[in-house]
Amino acid sequence: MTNVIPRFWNPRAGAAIIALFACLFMTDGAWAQPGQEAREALSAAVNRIMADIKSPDFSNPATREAARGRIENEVYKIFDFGEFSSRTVGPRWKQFSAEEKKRFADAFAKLLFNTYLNKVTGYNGEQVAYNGETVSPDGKLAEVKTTITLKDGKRTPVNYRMLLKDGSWRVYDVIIENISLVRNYRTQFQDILKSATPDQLIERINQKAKEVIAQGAGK
Amino acid sequence: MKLSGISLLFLIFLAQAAFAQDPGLLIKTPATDLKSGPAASAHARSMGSGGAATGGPLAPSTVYSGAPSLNGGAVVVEDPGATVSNDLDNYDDEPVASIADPLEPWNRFWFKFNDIFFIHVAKPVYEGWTWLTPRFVQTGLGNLFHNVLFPTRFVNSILQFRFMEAGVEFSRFMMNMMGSAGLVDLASSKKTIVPVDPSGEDFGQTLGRWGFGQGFYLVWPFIGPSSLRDTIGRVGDVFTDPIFYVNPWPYSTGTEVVFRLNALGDVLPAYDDLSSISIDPYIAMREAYASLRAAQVAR
Repeated sequence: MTNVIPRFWNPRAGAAIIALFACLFMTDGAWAQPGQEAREALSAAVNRIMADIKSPDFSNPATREAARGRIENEVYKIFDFGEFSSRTVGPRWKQFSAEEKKRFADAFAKLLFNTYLNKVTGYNGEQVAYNGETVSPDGKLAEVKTTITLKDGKRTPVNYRMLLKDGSWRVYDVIIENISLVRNYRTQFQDILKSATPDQLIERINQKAKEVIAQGAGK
Repeated sequence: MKLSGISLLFLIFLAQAAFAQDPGLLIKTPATDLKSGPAASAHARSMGSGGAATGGPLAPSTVYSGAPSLNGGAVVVEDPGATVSNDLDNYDDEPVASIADPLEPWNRFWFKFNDIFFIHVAKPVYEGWTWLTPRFVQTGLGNLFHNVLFPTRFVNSILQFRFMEAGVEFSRFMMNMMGSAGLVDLASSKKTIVPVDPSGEDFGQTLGRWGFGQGFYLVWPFIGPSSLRDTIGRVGDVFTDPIFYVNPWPYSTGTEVVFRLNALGDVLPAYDDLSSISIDPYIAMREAYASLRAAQVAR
């Protein structure tokens, strides 16, 4: 009667079971995490970019190039333009050669980055509020909701869709006022690719980026 | 009976007080939040003018160190917790949902027409207008226009059975009209019982709410992007627009033109952005219009 514990029980099995439970509980905790992780990655990047924008180097024409370079670095760290590109092109992305994919992503990044940075001349008291996240059940996609309040009090909802890639959260779409950037470009590119080769599309994007850069330089 | 009513009120008050005390229901502000307050701004300022603090000749960058620091609360992190949802669109293979556009060549023609009109007529006229009028006249007229269009928003809120929103619209209108004859948006600082989007409801949204789809995309000269449903909506909105009832038509047309010209300040920058960033501005506009309207109907 002393043998209350079943015979197959041994300390090693016990440890294994306890470890298994511990793992279960740990993953259970991890379920709630992705949203917060994504938001923290985003807000850290936004804070760094805002600090760069409000730095005097940015408003000084002599040092602006260097400041722009720093901002560009930060933007490339948090935005994944490869992911942006594959989604804007859609199913036809598979028909692009590796070299075309790279050129496309570079051109698209150049266009997006310059259009947005042209609008920024300095920090004007814009405020960012983070209003929660939506996470996919597998915890690999997240949408971080923010509201930007401009100087004149107008509020614009800006949501960032992010994915977990190689252990870090990267942005793959921006939804401004309910309009998804990826979705909007996707329809444009789909229509263009009906009658044009990938090469011609890349050329058009490069052309547009050049116009935008020239506009920015003229300011 | 009276006593029980009062005690009920008291109980509700107690319950609310208890909720307010419960830290679990309060908005959490994690430590990652940028600290607000004087200490933080002092810190930001010292970072901004670091060159001056170290002494020596002024670096060119410090000449511009008057740049404002992030003011307190510039970054606010609220954490209502993450919601889990399956509809985070990964854009893998799903075909693009967009509005039907059977009249594309016709629409493209009017899009081009509007583009030329916007850039070569409306924009210079608007620039002249902003040069001519002081800023407060522009804001005043903008507020007045918004208040004049109150009946459209009010009637359509009711038609959508959104009585709370209708009430908010009504009290905003009364507050602005009594306080400033509609020239100042006095109600903007007031917190509302339900969130009401400033763009308000219109008959196109009401039709959407009642289950009508967009139909197909239509571009009108001068007016711009629309759809079959929103065109019908626009015609319906004419009846709730007080300017329509101004009697000798030159007066009503004149008022409408001045109001619309004044309102271009919101439209032109957005239009410039859209056409400068997109590869095919026509499709970009069509998509933006369709998603914006869908969101307005769904909200």
